[in-house]
Amino acid sequence: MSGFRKNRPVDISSARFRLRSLERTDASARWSAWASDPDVMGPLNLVPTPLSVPGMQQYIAEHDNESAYLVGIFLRSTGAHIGLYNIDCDLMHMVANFSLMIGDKAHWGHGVVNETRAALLDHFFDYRKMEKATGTPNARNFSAILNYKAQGWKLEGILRQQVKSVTGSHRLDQLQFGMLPADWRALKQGTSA
Amino acid sequence: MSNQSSVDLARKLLAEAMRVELKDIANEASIETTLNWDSLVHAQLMVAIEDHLGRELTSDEVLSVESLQDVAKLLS
Repeated sequence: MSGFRKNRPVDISSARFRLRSLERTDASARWSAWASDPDVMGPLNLVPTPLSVPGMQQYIAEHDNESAYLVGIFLRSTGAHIGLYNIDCDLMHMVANFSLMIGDKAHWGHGVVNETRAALLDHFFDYRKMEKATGTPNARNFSAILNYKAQGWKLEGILRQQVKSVTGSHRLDQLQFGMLPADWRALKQGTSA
Repeated sequence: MSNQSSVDLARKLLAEAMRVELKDIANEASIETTLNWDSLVHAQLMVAIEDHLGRELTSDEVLSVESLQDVAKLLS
């Protein structure tokens, strides 16, 4: 792969999925349905809200493919769009913060997250030259927590009552998981960093 | 140490989440060794534990669950 250039969209593949930066034409009723589904949005501590096509296009446009990426997850077999990653990069400190949503519930529990995130970790460490990756699920996002642990991310801390719950007046803890390039390479090689 | 009734209850909740029979859940079942213990099963299991306890789990408790025996400890 050639050297890193600014503002270059992501377009990579794993065994089952294509991961590419979303474009205006990816705004769809399918995506809007995910955003209004309590099952999808609840674990993310987001209020289910249908999105308009112009609203989705505006959201896509806010991601510059330099400090902010909105990467769609597409089935290689059919091209269907099933979810997305939001990856915010602190270019001063070279830290990439990952968050994601698998909108198509038919694909929950089938290893989508860790397969796609492995490809993205490779890409952001090796190509975008990030020096650390983080993930910050809230403590009620049980599936996300399991996935971070299963993939070998290190729990770096519990931020107590860090965020307001959208379902009530209480506050939620937020967990911080981290991955360093050396950790990731060691995990892939089956050794400890 | 978890008592037998807690282990039995943990096995029941895990079997229901995994949609398998009780006999298919080994005492040593863990996230690492049990292929079908995926993220969806895990979320359903955690909700079932909370329903049984009648309260939300703390962050430390959520993070502690990696095996059948861990579930039993929470339930004991």
